[in-house]
Amino acid sequence: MINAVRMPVAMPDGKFRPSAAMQGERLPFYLAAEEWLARKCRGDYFMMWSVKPTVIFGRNQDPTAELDIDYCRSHGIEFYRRKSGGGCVYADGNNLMFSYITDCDDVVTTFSAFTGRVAAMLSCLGIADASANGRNDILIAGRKVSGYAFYFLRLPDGRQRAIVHGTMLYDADPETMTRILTPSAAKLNAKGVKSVRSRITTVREHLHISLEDFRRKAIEAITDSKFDLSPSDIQTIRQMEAEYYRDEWTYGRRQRSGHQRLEGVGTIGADISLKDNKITAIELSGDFFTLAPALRPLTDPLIGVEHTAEAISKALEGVDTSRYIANLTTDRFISLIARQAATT
Amino acid sequence: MIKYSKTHEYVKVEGEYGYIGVSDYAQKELGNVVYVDMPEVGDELEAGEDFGAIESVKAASDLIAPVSGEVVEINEALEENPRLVNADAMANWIVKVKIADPAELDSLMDEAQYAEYIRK
Repeated sequence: MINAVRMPVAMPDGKFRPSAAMQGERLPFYLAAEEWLARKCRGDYFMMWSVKPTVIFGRNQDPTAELDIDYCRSHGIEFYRRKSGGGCVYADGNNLMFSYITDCDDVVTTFSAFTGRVAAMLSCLGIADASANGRNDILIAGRKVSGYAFYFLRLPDGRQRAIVHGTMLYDADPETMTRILTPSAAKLNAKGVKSVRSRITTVREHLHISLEDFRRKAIEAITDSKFDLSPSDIQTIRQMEAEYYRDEWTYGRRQRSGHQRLEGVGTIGADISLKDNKITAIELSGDFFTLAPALRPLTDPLIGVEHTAEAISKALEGVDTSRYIANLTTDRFISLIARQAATT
Repeated sequence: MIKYSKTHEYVKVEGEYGYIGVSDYAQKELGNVVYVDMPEVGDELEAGEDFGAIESVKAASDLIAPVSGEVVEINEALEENPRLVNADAMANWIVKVKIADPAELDSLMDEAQYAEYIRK
């Protein structure tokens, strides 16, 4: 039995109606909901949801090597780290998110049982050549329409749970995807797991069906029961959601800005270590020209400072960076250090 | 002395130090490891809390501390070659900690108990 997870949705008359087509929340809410279902509930659940334009990268990926952070910022595209493995994906209203939460004895069996079910759903709708491949993707005529990642949870009581989640491209704008998922500068020595590019296709290319109908039919095909989140469930999920918003989670504890070439300065990069979102160490490197015997007067004021653009600017008030590094203005230095810090 | 947790981490105790890693069973279950996300030297681990993650070609999962303690060393070889965990999970520990409370070891399984635990 797979329960379709539903959320109370406010109707125009002010009443609430449970809806299986979850939308309107930011991505961390859904990730937290999956985790809550895995940790606190028993049984099998399926959640279908969508978000406004958002990038989701894998547990052990370096976001600065996977996406264009500046572009995302300036275009209001959010980006988050998930707890499952694998590569980077772009989601929007046309890329439906599927989440399957279940007990797990064996990762491979769990994976193939679910991807098989999704492929069968596409076949039932009339897409003849939909099939699951060995890489946890679902392909239509050799092109990827849907791809999944796995978060394997071992609970303290010895139970094993799985969160299998992924994308289902109803429609796509490949140019936007490529633009966002191309880092602004190629990173040397980037650490972490690299994404694998795939040739994609969409449901719409193969099927005349509205997004709403597709959502409804997918839920019908995959689930056979319903589970409604209560207001108190939602409250707990909101508490769990918070960790996904922390810079330290999103960017990692050791942040490497990558080397930038700054006019008149040369190349410069910063390795920043964080603990509890506060800076514990900064190391500058590059081929810039130093004007002072030590750079510590530049970096020392930042130790212990919260990794936000505001806190960094405040800590550097009155520091004239160009006295230490030739032609480096304080503003440029702030933007190097705060490059990855949240602006909110 | 080697002790195991229900979440398949081991702690190999040597004097006041413990070497923490994942069991051979866990390694096999995950398959080819592609990344080990480790804490830093100086971090405090708390028993039952996650301290990192291990990612294989199949899945990512949390690393859960079997005992509390300060990290005194991490296995840096895993940064370059995470597959060492597959090659020999017992030899390739992930972190070395200074065990904060040896009494915590009592609630873990010994080798015979763990062998029984994974058999079911």
